[in-house]
Amino acid sequence: MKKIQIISFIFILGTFFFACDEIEKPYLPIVGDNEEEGEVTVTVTFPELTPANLYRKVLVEEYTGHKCTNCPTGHAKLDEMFGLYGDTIVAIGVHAGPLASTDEEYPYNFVTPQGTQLFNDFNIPQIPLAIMSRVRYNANSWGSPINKWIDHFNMVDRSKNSAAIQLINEYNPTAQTITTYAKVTILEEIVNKVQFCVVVTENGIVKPQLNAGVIVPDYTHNHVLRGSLNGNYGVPLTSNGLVANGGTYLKGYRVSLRNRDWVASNCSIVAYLIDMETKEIIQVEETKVN
Amino acid sequence: MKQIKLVITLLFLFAVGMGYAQNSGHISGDVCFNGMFYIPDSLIGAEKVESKVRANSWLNLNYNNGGFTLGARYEFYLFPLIDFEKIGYKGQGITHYFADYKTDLLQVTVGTFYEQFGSGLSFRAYEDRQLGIDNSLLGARFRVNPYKGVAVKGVWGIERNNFDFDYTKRSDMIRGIDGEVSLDQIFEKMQEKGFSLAFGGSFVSKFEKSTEYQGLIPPEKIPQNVGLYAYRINFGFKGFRLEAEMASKINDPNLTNDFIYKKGEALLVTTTYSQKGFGVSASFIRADNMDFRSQRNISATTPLLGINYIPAINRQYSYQLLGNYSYASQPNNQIGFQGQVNYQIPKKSKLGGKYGTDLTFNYSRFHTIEQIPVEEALSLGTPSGTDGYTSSFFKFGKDLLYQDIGFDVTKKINADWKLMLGYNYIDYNLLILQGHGELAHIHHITSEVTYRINRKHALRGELHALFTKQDMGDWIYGMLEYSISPNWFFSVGDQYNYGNQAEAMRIHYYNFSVAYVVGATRIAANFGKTKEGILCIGGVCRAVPASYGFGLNITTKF
Repeated sequence: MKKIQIISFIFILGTFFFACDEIEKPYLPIVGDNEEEGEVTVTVTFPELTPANLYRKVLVEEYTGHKCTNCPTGHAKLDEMFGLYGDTIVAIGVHAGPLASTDEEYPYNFVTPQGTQLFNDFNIPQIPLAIMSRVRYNANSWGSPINKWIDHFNMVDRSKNSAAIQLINEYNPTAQTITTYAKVTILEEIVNKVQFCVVVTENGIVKPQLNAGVIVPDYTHNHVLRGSLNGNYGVPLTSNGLVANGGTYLKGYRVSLRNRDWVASNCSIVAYLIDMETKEIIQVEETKVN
Repeated sequence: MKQIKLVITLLFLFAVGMGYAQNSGHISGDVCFNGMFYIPDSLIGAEKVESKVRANSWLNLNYNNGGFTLGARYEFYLFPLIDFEKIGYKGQGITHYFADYKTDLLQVTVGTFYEQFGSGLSFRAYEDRQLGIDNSLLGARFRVNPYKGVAVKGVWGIERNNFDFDYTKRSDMIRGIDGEVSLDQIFEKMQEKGFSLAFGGSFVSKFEKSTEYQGLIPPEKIPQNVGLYAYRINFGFKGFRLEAEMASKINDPNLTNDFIYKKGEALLVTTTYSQKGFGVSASFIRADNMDFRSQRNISATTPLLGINYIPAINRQYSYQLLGNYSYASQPNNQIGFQGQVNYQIPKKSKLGGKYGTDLTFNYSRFHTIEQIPVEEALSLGTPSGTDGYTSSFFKFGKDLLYQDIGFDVTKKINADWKLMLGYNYIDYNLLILQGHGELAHIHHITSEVTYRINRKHALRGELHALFTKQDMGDWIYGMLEYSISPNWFFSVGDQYNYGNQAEAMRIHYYNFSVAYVVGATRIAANFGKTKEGILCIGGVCRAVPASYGFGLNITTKF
């Protein structure tokens, strides 16, 4: 009798263990405004390429997080590099990993699906770390620590210039949409398949940041990756992914700011061309939204 | 948590005092000090560390009186070995403490505890000091054996996260229940006829407060309770055994799977057959989206907060040079098998000689699973917030992760001499398993000789060679160990990367060590270089940074 009571007790207790939430589709919210988003036909005319467009820029993907006490040193280093290299650098602040998670002290969520995928794909072991045009820093790591960023920057072969990217942005304040038009011109033979990726970044986001062990409540976050307009690794420019020397390719995308807290005047469009074999960024361009 | 720790400490002191007052009870434990003096060496990448002298040390203390056990462990890792600092295992305190009461019918544990359901596909709370893993649960556990052959276990608690003991900030917890019926224990005639048969099942549920995911997925679409169920069978007949466990995880969008909603699945089957002088074993594993953690935002690059355990079923080697090419189990994406045959050429036969000759052959192969992205993921450009992909259950994916063909012979020549020779061919996907490089093709030869000089003195030598055109190129390793039984051990070894493409990196990683053992105490010292690499135990791995210096290790049990 005693054993039966114990078994009954276990089964009653067992009901406490059987908790499971099965989520039904759709998983993502259906936002009416998002019907305005997506790929659009290119309706603008791009100016002729000038020597000003004909140099290779370097994409600096800075992996960072608001709970990362050394990351502000990285932000300062990036500012120093802007002083040294000017617009040769295009920066994206990728907030990802455990130190980018939210809690009561750091409630704002900077993390994006794209940033998380990149963090995982490039095996970022700790932050701050930067990857320069996705050129591997050494055999063990894609990224480099702060004191090696300039060395890593110089590992990018800027004597090559295989492609040019031109961007034209339009902001519609009534519809609250950003439309970006891009033209990619291939200047040298590229043997590998390529993809073209367009992302939004934002400057001037004032939110808490840990700095040398102290929480700075009104820290200004710049170059923050907000999201991709065409996938985490973009899209192929042709059906087979290969591009022709001398070829030009047009792409247009629209994104809505409704239901997003992005400030259009602080946003920029960053577009880059990826060698899908080597993962290297062949060219990158940045233009402010307005 | 502080109250539980305080209550258990007071209980401990009270029980020990009472036990001693009544001259009953038993105290046992162990102490370990594992320290190192670090010397920077830029060539091997051994960094200058802030504190040159570092150590991991701990004390385990258990008090047992009848069915009542109290236990605690104090860990001092404030200046830990650099391997541990790099994985965040840094801090100090009473990290493990429990009160346990056990009768034939019931066992109840309160405090921190370790437990495993089945083969671990659904739940495994364990510690591995070498890896720096301790995912014990703080909470309560019960085990009941209401009838002979029937066992039920239940766990409820919060998982340890290194030295972050601020449980008031945690919004995650684990609940699990497991049952097993052993028919051969209920029907004793089965045992008499050589049969064994047991069925088991478990259900584990993780709770974590829902939060929005990156502005993409709203909190109401993030499951707060994630369930995983598993069922298993163990069958045996004389020398034959079959163990199989199947597990399924219900939607668990998390960082390791790019926040997809696909159901997770795992199957582990192991069969063995053995008779005198002959043994054969075969295993199969498939794991798809089975990384199961207490917190959904933990990266796959760390083993922290793992709830379940997806084992690596390949043959495990302790060879020095193969250490850097250990297979790391891929909980989210692997399918493969392992087979091994052991045969002893009979004693006193022509080939077997006086003592017989042991032969071992093994083959294993692991691939990624097939993954076909769902339409939604393709149109969105991200798998996050979708079902991710579809996958045929038994179809191997295109990426080879690991392949091992191995053969070894062990021969005792006479009472004093013993020889072992072995060869392995290994394909190792550096890019997926270690995040850099390419598919490495490796040939490895191992040889070992033991010479017993007399009853007390013995000499053992190892000579290994590794050949590969990829990664760091060719290596050779030699080691000589001299032991004076039962107290003294001396060894000298060297790993030489003579085939490194970069001439400056053709480095000798030498090591000298001495150990003294007396009773249950072991004191060991060593001096040498350790190369940067990985350390894997049972398919769970961590990075090992390069180091150079003097080490001291003291352990004792009482």
